[in-house]
Amino acid sequence: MKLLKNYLKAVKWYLPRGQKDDIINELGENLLSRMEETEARLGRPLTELEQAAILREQGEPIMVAGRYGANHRCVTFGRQLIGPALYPIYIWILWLHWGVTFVIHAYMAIFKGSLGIGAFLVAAICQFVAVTFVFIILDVYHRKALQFWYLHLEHINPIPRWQSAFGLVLWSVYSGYWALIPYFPALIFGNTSGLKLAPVWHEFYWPILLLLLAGVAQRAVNLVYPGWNWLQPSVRLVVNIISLSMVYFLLNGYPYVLVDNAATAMSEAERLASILNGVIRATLLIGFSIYWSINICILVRLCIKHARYRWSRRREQAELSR
Amino acid sequence: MNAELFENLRLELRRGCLSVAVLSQLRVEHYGYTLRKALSDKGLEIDENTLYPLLRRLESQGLLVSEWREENKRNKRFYRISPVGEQILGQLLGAWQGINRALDQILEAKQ
Repeated sequence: MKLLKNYLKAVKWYLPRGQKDDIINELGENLLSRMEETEARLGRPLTELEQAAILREQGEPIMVAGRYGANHRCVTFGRQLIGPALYPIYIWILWLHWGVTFVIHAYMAIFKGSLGIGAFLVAAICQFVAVTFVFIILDVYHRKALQFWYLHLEHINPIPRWQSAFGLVLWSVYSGYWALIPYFPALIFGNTSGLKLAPVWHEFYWPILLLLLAGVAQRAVNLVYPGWNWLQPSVRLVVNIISLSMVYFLLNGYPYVLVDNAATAMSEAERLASILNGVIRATLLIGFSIYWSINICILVRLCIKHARYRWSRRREQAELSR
Repeated sequence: MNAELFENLRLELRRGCLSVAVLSQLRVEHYGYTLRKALSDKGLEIDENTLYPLLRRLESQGLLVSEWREENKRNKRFYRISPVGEQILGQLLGAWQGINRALDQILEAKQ
């Protein structure tokens, strides 16, 4: 009854707080009774496709939850832009972005004396526009093609939302940090180290930023659509292949850190640069080897899982069409 | 347009009747699924997404009482009409019969 579990989980997401468990227990029990009665009538257990048909008949989780007084807020501008299904996640993501931005700006303002309220407002408005735009597009897809995603993926677990949320926060922070470096070089070495980044990083600034943003986008999409579990291995595969080729060029781009001519303590800066160059090179060699080994294992496992799922689905379809 | 209008009016007409039917049927204890079947057997099809929230609403209004109980090794929520519900149902049936009589007279007068 994994399908039923997935379905109830999806309904629960939208239910009013405080009533979730009670409603889900009752709804689950009634659906189970209905399935059992159909099984008794047919004289055999229901296939997953038949279970899915019953659940489809029950209705979209957002609609089912709506009957129990779930929140139906949405974003409209002339017409509905972000529907009630995505609205709670949209608001959550927006607050998350603003929260992280606020913390970074507050830190910069208090400890570095830069990035004032004006910079925060500009960043917040940009994030509002970007997040709203992404969710408007997601909503169009959601309405067109993504209904009942949880019924198509019975053999592969959806990606847990906490995992996507955690990754989203982490990658957003990395991306924000990386994006700010050209404007605030002090973010890396501080104001007094006498060091600067070597030109090799300038060539890789945009590719690295784009890879980081791809990671952010994948996690944001999986947060909204946990059932899109193919997205995670696909994005990882692309990101890892590109990053591997970048590592090769980066290794050839030694040194990575240079002494700034304006440095006051040249010998100290040179010593620091030498240590940092060694650490970065070692990280590129060892760190990426470990990272890649782990990722290859994860990717192979995910690919086998997906292949098995496709095969079992095809077999079930063939059996039913006989 | 006409079909949509008819559907809206039909749903409006049906809405009040559903509460009366549910209250009346719950003079005998049922859980959600068997209640739906009992109503359906008597010719009143009711969508699950309408029935289950309606049961909760009637319970929150004090017209029904419910109890979680084990049956066939599974926990089910059984509903039955409350004393207040019985009283209200009696009044509703009286009102419904009154409306029915009036409608009959109006329709007969037209014919």
